[in-house]
Parts: sequence; structure tokens; C-alpha cells
Amino acid sequence: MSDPSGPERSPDPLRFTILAGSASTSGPRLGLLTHDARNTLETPHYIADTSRGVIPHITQDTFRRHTDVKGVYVALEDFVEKAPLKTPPIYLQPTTTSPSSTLRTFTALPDTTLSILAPRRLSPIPSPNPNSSSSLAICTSVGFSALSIATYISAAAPSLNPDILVAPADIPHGNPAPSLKRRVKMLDRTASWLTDLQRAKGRVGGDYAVFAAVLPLPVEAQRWYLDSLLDAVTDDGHGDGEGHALPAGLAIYDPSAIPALPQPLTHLPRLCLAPAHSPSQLLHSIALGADLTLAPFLSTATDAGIALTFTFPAPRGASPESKSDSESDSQQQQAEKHPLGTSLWNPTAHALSTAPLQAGCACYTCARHHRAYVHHLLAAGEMLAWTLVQVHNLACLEGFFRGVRGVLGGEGEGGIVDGGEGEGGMEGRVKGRFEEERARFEDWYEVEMPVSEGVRPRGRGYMGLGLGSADGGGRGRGKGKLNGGGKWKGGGLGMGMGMGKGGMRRL
Amino acid sequence: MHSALQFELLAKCSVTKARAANLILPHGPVPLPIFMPVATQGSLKGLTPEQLEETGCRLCLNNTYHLGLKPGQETLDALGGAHKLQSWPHNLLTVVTNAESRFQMVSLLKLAQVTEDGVRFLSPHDGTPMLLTPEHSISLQNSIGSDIMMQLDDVIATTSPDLARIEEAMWRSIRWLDRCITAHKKPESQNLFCIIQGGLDLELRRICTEEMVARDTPGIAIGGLSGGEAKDAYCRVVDTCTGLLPDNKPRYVMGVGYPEDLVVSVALGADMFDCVWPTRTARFGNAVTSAGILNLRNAAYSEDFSSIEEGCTCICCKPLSEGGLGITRAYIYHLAAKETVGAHLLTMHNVHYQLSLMGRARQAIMDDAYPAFLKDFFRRLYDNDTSRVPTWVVDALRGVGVNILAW
Repeated sequence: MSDPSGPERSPDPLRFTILAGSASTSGPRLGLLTHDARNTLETPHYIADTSRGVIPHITQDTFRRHTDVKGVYVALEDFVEKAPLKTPPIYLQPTTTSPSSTLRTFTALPDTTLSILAPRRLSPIPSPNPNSSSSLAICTSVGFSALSIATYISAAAPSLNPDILVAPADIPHGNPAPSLKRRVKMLDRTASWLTDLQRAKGRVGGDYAVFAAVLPLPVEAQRWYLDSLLDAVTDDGHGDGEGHALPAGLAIYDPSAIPALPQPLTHLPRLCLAPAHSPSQLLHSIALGADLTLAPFLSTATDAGIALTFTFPAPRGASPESKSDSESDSQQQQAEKHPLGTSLWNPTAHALSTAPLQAGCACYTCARHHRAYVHHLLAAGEMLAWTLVQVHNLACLEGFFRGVRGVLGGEGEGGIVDGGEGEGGMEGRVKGRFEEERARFEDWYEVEMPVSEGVRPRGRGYMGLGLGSADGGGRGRGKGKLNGGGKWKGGGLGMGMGMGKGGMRRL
Repeated sequence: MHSALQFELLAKCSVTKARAANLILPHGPVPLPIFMPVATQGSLKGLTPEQLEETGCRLCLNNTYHLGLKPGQETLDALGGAHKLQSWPHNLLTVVTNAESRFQMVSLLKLAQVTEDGVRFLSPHDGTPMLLTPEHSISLQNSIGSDIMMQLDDVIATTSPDLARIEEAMWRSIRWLDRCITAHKKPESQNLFCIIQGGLDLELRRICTEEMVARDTPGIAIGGLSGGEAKDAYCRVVDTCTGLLPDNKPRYVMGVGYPEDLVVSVALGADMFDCVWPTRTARFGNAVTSAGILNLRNAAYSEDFSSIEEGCTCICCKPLSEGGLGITRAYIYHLAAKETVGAHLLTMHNVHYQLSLMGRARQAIMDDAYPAFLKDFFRRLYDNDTSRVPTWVVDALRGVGVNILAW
């Protein structure tokens, strides 16, 4: 335990326990991610994506009051515009949090929310410049730049001190099929950067937990790198004297790697960083064994004015529409898929509707407001529209994950968690039930998000660069015009949004 | 005429014409003097009604013309009015069209045409014509269900040199008030305010005030101002009008919003104000503070880790230890123009500032210490430099017995 060459190592504040589902085999699993100072996350759990430290449209007070977000993903590229010429202000923020974290204080993140810091956004804008052996190509609000690995590592402690630090990974964004030579480089760099990070943590300390990258390559292709993660475990489980410790978790860029992970890594929590474009992609990752996932489709739907309405498990029995249609035969019922959400732009459906965005939803938006208001706000170009939809969509997603955990926990099955008799039979049954519900979800719901007739909020900051994000879900101005049908030109929207040049127009 | 409000005069400043009062409206009491933020289309620029509530606001504005276009009268009728549309449990005041937008339409877009019948607008959205008659404006406001509704008036820019047209507009506004009163279907639940016109001509203002007062509306507005006229001319009009108004009715000066305008207008005897400026300027990264406007998009603030305003009790500025968010200037700088959340945070701060400024003014009036309040306000605003106090402020306050330079 004692380590003469560095500060005394306190027990990791982050711990992960697998409650159901197996550590040794792949497949969906139920777990608990606990942190001494933060919320406990029951996994699988949703991590909210942020932009410049906020969930788009959600002010910090709304975050506290009306969301149940337990963890956020923050990208350092959102904070380092003028580095290295100028020290990013976020490093300098005086802080009184415990453990001390300038990231938390600067972004006014609640004390209980788990913070995850990564170098780049979830769907990073590919840079025209490649990564180098000592830096990552990043995109800041003032343009493309390079983030040196040394800077990233030294930013983590003692200043930013996130709860989880995603180790830098050499991923050539925009190049889905890197050459063999490039792959070797990816592995070399990612491995050596991780070693740098581990050493620095051993030297400087820091309360953050390191999540090592699992690259978006076939597992065979990164076998030696993954094996190298294990080198340390042979010692005492805390790594060798050089500060070379087993990572606290894995940041997985392609969930299909999960089933082939080396055995000794399987008990680690898995943060899935593959951008999910639909709930069924989330289910896919969860089915493979993802514990924490992000869902960029959430903000994409919000910006399109779409209120998500899906549930997991999917509703049972006939839908209200087919019920009224008494002569509908079962075959037709099967063929009729249900939408994942509803576009609040639709005037005939919503202009006069005092119904909540989703029946039975208890979120702030659904409890206090109705569809008619949100529709009006969208049509009027009022920013509150997107805030209200985002609050609801976050709640919808939280509910979805609760449902997933319910099924994995054997809800309605007598419960596997306390079942005790364990072993393949019971676990097999839960896995089977999950797969059954997953299939039913995909039968019930459409694959794609509904089409939105309206315009999106004007792109600004990262999204306003006009480059579009890698997932194609950019909120660019151009896109808004394309979808706008000429109803609201840039200036018209500017009346509501007025923050940039177009917003100078007087009311 | 019938009134759906109670006006309780609580205190009058023994030096200036400032008043403190309670205005009890159908959706609850509001303290006067008061600043009313402008939620033109039924939302205050990204704030939830709950967040607006939290700034202390209990009376905000909606715009009749805008709500008449979207969501439209049918929708408003179906939903049961604008309170239900926006789930706002407190008071609403509807202006028919705010003066500013009318000036813009008249002078810039040539979109409005005034006849004895009413004002013909072309929708800025799609060019559809809309004839706003006094009757239609009242019918719309009855559908909206606002606690205070405004008459349709004929507004001429105060800077217009055409005195004949200004006089015509004044008399027409009086005739339109009569039509509004006749058309008003819910006087027992909605208060109709008249609007005094007459440009910068004090004689016209006197005549108009007399005519309007005779019609005995529950409250009285002074309109047609803040259209770019000189501040001293503005002050003379407000001073003249309030001098002729009865004590027992609320007085609303339309379109006024800079902090210095508010405190001077209160000294001149006005009670209610509205302006889009605090919320609009927030979207440009400007914070309203007692030391003046801070443009937080300026790189000078990028490493300023103090709160937007020291000691401010808005949710953004209050430290975490006191249940606030502990937002810093540096973080607003970080968000400004890049994430709308930055604008929302500043909007909350600015609205809170305006409301709390009026709250402090009210307290000072009740303590009969308004002159001292004024001195303190201008001392902070101009950093103890008397030479920076504008002449119009000095003159206007001297007119009500305060020598602002003697601090």
C-alpha cells in the first residue's frame, strides 16, 4: 500500500459493483457506480453530454430542480481557446469544492453530480490536422488547435480534478478505416499516453479515476495494448512503484469490442463513447455490456422540436389507435410501428392540445405546461421552447434507463439481485428477458426519429462553426434554413434568439 | 368606470413626488413602484415562468399584437387565455403594440397605416394584413385575459416635427379610448388603462390628461415616450402629467427601463415601467449592475471570478453556500454568444436587478429617505464622480427638490 516514491495513495473514491449479469461473460449487466462524494449511479445509466459545461438549453438552476441527471460528460476542448498562449481561465478558478475541482466550480456543477472529463466532444468535429505523437487535434470555438497530452494530463490535477478522466486516445476522427500503419501508431500513442497519465497521477496525486480507452478497432488488432493495461495487476492490484495502476474503468469507442475484452478487464465499469443516434443503438450497447452511455440523439431531437415519448419496456397490448379500429387484424397491428417522439411543430396535432408532452410523464414540462404552449413557443421562435423540450427529453431518457435496469434487475420476476442462487440459469433468464424486451421495443417503435417540420435553434459556438458535427446532427444555421420552408428566415428567428449579429434586430 | 383593482397608497416622499403603493390585481398584489419585464410572445426570453417568478416578478407584459398573430385569438379562447397558455399564475399586462415596435413599423418598415378606424399592420412574419381597431384590440385582450389591458392609441414619434399630426393623434387616442371602454366586455375582471398622448407639447399633454382622467379608467399610462426624445423633454412631460393626475390611481410610464430613468421617473411621481432593454441587453452579454453596464463579452472578464454583482441576491450571483449558483463573470464570458444558457443566466440577473432596484426605492420611500436613496444610487453608478451625472438628471431632480450633486 505504501509508496515511498509518491504521495500516499488513498483508496480510490470511485468503486464499481456488478449486481446482476456476469463480469466474466459479455451481455447486459446491472451495477452500482459509487463515489465517496457524488451520487451513486445505478447502471446502465445515462451520462448527459454538455457543451461548454452546460447541457444545451438547461441553466444550472433548472438542472438542479428539474432534471435527474447524475453524471455529465465535459470536453476540455470547450475550455482551452487560447491555450497554450494563455492559461485557460477554468484552470485559474478559485474553488472550495471538496475534493477541489475548478471544473466543478467554474461550470457551477452541483456537488453531487459525477463529472467525466475527456479531451474532445462526443461527436468531435474532425480536424484537418492529424494528431501528433504528443498532441491531439482539437476544435475550439475559435478554430482548430492542438492540445498537448502533457497539458491535458497536467490540467487534470490539481486544478480540474474531474471524478473520471478519460485517458487521451489517438483516434483519427473522420477516418473510420485507418491503415495498418496508422493502427500501429494509434496503439503506440494511446498506450504511451496512458502510461504518462498513470505516472503523473502517481506523482502528483489527484482524486480522479482514470478510464483507459478501448479503441474503435477490432479487439484482436489492439490485443497487446489491452494486455498492457493488465501488466500492473500482477503486483498488488494497485500497480507497480512507477505509478502504473490498473485503470479504474474503460472508455469504449465501439461497443462491439466488449465481448472480446480480456477477462481481467471485464469487471471494470464501461463508459460507451460511441455516439448513439437512437434508443435502439443504446439498447445495442447495453446488450453488449455498456454501463454508462451518452445519447447525442437527445439534443438533436430537442433542437428539432421533438418530444421523445418512447418507454422501455415498450407498451404492451394494442395501441389506442388500433383499439378504436376494431377490425384491424393482428398482422396490420404488427406492421404499424409507433413513433419515438412527436414533433411539436405540428399545428394540427398540438396547437390546441393541453395534454402533456408525454402522457403520464411527471417532468416539470409535462407537469406545468402543455403541448399548445411548446408549439406556440417553437412557432414564435422563443428560446424557452427548447428548454422545455430538453427538460422533458432528459426525463424520458431517465425513464428509459430506469426501465432497462428494471428488466435487468428481474422486475416482475421475483428479482435476481437478492435471488442469491445466482449461476447461469437465473442470469440467463434475465438476459433472455432483456433480449425479449429489446426485440419487442424494436418491433413496437420506428427506427428513425420522426421528421420535424420546423427550424432548429441557431447554431452557435461549436455547432455554429458551420462544419456540422461528425454525427450529422449539427445545429447549423444552414440546416435551419433548409428545414425552415421559408417560414422563418434567419432574422426572424433572430428576434427570439438574438445573441449574434442577426439578433440585433429590434422587436 | 368599473375597476378590477385596488390601489393602496402607502407613503409619499416628503421631498420628491415619489410614491409607494400596493396594487392589488386579479392575480395578486404587486408592490409599486414596479418594473415589469416584457414577455412579448408569452415567454421571457428563455426563462421558465418559474424562473421569472424567482426574480420576484409578479406582473409581466405580453404583447396583444404578437399574441393575436401567434398563437391567435381562437387558440387563446380555446385555452382560456394567456395565463393558461404560459402557465403563469401571476399578473399580466398587455400592451397593444409596444411604442417601440410601432415606431419601427411606422418609420422603418412602412408597415402600419393609421385611419380613424384603426391601425393596419402587415405581419412582419408573412405580410398578412391585420386591422387593429379599438374594438378588435379590446376583443383580443379580453381573449388574452390580461389583468391590465391598454387602450389602442395613436402613437406618433415624439421626435416628429408635425405638431398638427401630434394633436390629431392625441384627440384620436381619446376617441379610441371611448371606443375601447364601450367594447370592453370584462371590466369586472380586467382593468383598462388609458394612455396619455400629446408628444412633447406640454399643453397637449395637459389637455389629454384632463380628458383621460375624466374617463375614470382604473389606471393611467403616459405613452408615446422613450422614442428617442431628449431626456429633459421626457422628464418635463412625465412631471407635467403626474402633476395633473389623481393620487389614487397607478401611473404607468410606457417603454422606460434604464435604471437611471426609473429612479428619476419615480421621483417625478410615476409608479410602473416596462422595457425590453434589460432582457435584450442580456442576450448581448451585458449585465446591469449598480456600477453600470458590464459587457461580459469583453475579454477583461475572462478571468474575473467574482459574481456578476457583489452582494446581488439573484440566483446566479448568490453563492452556493446560500442556495445560489455562484455563477462568475468569467463563466458568463465563457458562455456568451456560444450557449443560450449564458443569455438565460444574465436575463435572470438583469430582471432581478431591475425588480430589486424598484424594491429598494419603495423601501426608501416608505422610510421617507428617497432623496438619500437617489444620491446613493447615482454615487454608485458614477463612481462618486459628480461631473458624470447627466444634466437632465440634475435638472429633473432639482425640479422635485433634490440637489443630486450635493452628496
